[in-house]
Formats: sequence, C-alpha cells, structure tokens
Amino acid sequence: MVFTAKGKFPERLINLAMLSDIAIINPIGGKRQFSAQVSVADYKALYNIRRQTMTSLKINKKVGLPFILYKNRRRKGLAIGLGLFFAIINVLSMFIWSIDIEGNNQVSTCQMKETLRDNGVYIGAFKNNLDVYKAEKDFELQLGKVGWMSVNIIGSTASVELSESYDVPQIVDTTKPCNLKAKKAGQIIKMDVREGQNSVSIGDGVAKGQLLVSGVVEIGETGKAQFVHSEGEVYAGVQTKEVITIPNSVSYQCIKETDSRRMLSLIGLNLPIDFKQIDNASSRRTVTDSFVLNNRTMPISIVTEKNYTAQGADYNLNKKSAQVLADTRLALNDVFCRWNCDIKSKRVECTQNKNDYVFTANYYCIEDIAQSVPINIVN
Amino acid sequence: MKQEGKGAMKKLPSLYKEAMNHAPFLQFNSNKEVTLDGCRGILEYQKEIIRVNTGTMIIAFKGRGLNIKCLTTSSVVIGGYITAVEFLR
Repeated sequence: MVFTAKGKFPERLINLAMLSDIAIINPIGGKRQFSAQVSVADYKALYNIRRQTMTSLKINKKVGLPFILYKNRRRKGLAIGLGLFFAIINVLSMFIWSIDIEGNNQVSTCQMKETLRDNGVYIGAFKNNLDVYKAEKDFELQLGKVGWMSVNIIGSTASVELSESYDVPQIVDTTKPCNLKAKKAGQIIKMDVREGQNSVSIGDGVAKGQLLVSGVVEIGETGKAQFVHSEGEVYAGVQTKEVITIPNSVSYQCIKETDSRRMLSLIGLNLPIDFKQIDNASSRRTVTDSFVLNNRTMPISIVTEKNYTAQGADYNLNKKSAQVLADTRLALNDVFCRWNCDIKSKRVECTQNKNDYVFTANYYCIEDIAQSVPINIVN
Repeated sequence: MKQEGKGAMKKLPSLYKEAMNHAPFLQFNSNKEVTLDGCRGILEYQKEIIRVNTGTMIIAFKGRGLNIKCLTTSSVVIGGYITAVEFLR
C-alpha cells in the first residue's frame, strides 16, 4: 500500500512507526510530507499512530492480492475458474506428460518408446501406479542391448538415461599354433608373412584348402622345429562368378498415401479433429507434434495419422530394363559382398530363357585368401 | 605517586571505550551512502537534508536526492549524493 503522510511533523511518524515495529518501505521525503509503502496490517497500526503526530494519511495506491480479491469478490465465475485451473493442474500433474530419452545410439528412440510403453512408461501413465524399478528391469530384459538404465520421474517428465552394451570383439589367441590355408583357389600375386614358414611363392597357383604358410618352423639346421602362430596376408588373383536371375514379368507393390486424419492428444487420450472414415488402409504412420512451452513439453499434441494402401501392378521386362535391374543388384552385391576385394575386371553375360533372363558376372579380383587354421597337436 | 600515575594510565582505555559506547558510529561509502549506528530518531526528512538525533548530538546530512534506505530502532542507512555533514550539540 502506497501512502503519503502530510502534517507539521511527518518525521515523527517515521520514528513512532520504527518504535512500534512497523516496516516502512522505501520512504521518500519532501517538504512537510513523505510517501512510503507499508503492508495492509501495518497501515492499520500506522493509522492509529498518526493522531499523535498531527499528520494526515492519504492512500495513493492499493497493490497486492487482498485488494485484487476484494475488487473481484462478486465475480464468482472467476473464482470458480481459478479453482478449476488449479484443480486441473493438480490432476494433470499426476500423469506423465513427456518422455525424454538420452544415451541411445544403436537402439532407436521409437523402439525404446514402444518397449517403455510395454513396461508401463508412456505419455498419460498415472505416476502413482508406476513401478520404476520393475520397469527398468523388464526394459533391460526385453531390449537386451542395455548396459544400465534409469528412469527418473521429474515432475511430469519421465527422464530415461541409458548406456548401451557392446559386444565383446573376437579375441585372437596368438599363443595357439596355426597354419594359413587358402580359402579360395587362385594365383598368388603378393605375400606379406609376419610369422610362419612360406609353403608357396609368388606366381604359384593354389587350390582351395592348400597350405600357404606353415606354423611349423625349423630352428636353423638343428633338425628341431617349433610351433608358431602364423600371421600374414596372401593376396591372390581369384576368378569368381555371380549369377542373377531376373524374371520376364515382375509384380510390384506400390505404396500410396490415401488419406490422413488429425487428432488432439491430451496426455495419451486421442480426440479426433477430422471426422473421416478411412477404409482399406494397409499401413499407417503417426506423426506427433508436441506443444512445447518454455522448453517444456506440454501434455497436448497434434497426432497426424497417415494411411497408406498397397496397389499391385505387373510389368513385363525387356532385355534392356532387365539389364538395368541386374546391374543395380550386381552393384549392391559388389558393395556388400566384395568390399574387401580389389575388382580388376568384371564381365557380364546375358542369356535369355523362356521365363527369365540369366545374367552371369565373371569377376577377376585380387583379395587376401589366407585363412587361419589351428594346428591340432596330438601326443 | 608513580603507582597512581600508572593506575590512571590503565584506566584510560576503559574510559575511552565507555565514552565511545554512547557515541554515534558513522560509516561512509564514498559520499553515496552512510550508515549511522546510534540513531534515536529522524528529526527532518527531505530530499536536500536529513537530520538525525543521536542523543548526544544532532547530525545533519546535506546533499541531493537523499533518502532513507533502511531504518531500524538503532540505526539508519541514508543514500543519495551527500555534500556536507553537520554535527550540532
């Protein structure tokens, strides 16, 4: 409450207020007057004191909740609305509004949300019914790729932190003796042997399974031998063949978006906005646009449901289009199956049968054909 | 005589302390703020002059835009641009 005290001796009012423990806030002095702020309770006490000081008090401004409530005392709707507002906030705070996931690299967020849903952690879940420890354990068991995880309920947000587990790499035991044998037939071009005794030399032709580097090494001219773990790379020119069959007629399934409808999602409860009936939908995809206010995800979101239908169509392929299809498949095959080979030449031949085209690709590649084979020692 | 002299010298600090206990304590922060301990009441409060009763004397702070920042039963903090301080007995 802001007031002005006027009179012969307004300073006395300050002194008496000070002795009566009345907090006068921000007093601004003037000629035979001063203005200041006090609380409502203190103003009543100050009003009693002012008679002793021959000063008059005038209220300049009434600020604060008591005055707002008094001003709006007849507006019952406002009071009901305010009460409802707090009641809704209180009820909504009992549910989970959003889920934050951190630490996932291999497992997708969508997959994690599905698994969390199976274990009771989802948008709209009642917080009191949530058994976080059980959900954590079940989640780890269900997903399998989790090293550790924790679900923390902070306000209305379920914060999920996890560390994924990694597969232990295959550890090669270098103490065990082994030979290097050819895993494919070919002609040796280059040898890089770090350990072991060469059994073949550059230019030699080798068959599949032939010994390349021996793990039994003689010690000088003593006539004695020792077992070693053979290591190295043996590069050979290898001829391989890849056969791809393309049928004359191909049937394709074309996915087409038919219609979409929107829904208002309120803490997991979906209320339709577009009243559309969608038939013959073979698959659907949902896109959720959450309402974010001040970096906080609100429990309201717009869910767009996109529906798709599959339409089949048959095509007859000629030799040219079959060639394009075969080239694509061969290119993919080269990338994923011959990534460790140096392809020197590739010759594709096409033969047409009654129902299909057969494409035969002849490769000449240089690749490492050495394969480690352990030596079994029997006493 | 010597012993009496020594006793008088010993008594001096305690007398000084006693005298200082009743005296107002002023602490200035440049000429922008002053804290006064031992305030008994405000005698005059205007933007140009604030006079404070300390019991033993009246201290007048003169300046521009003077205001009382904080007021308790025994101390007062005065802010503003202080140009002069007067001590009146």
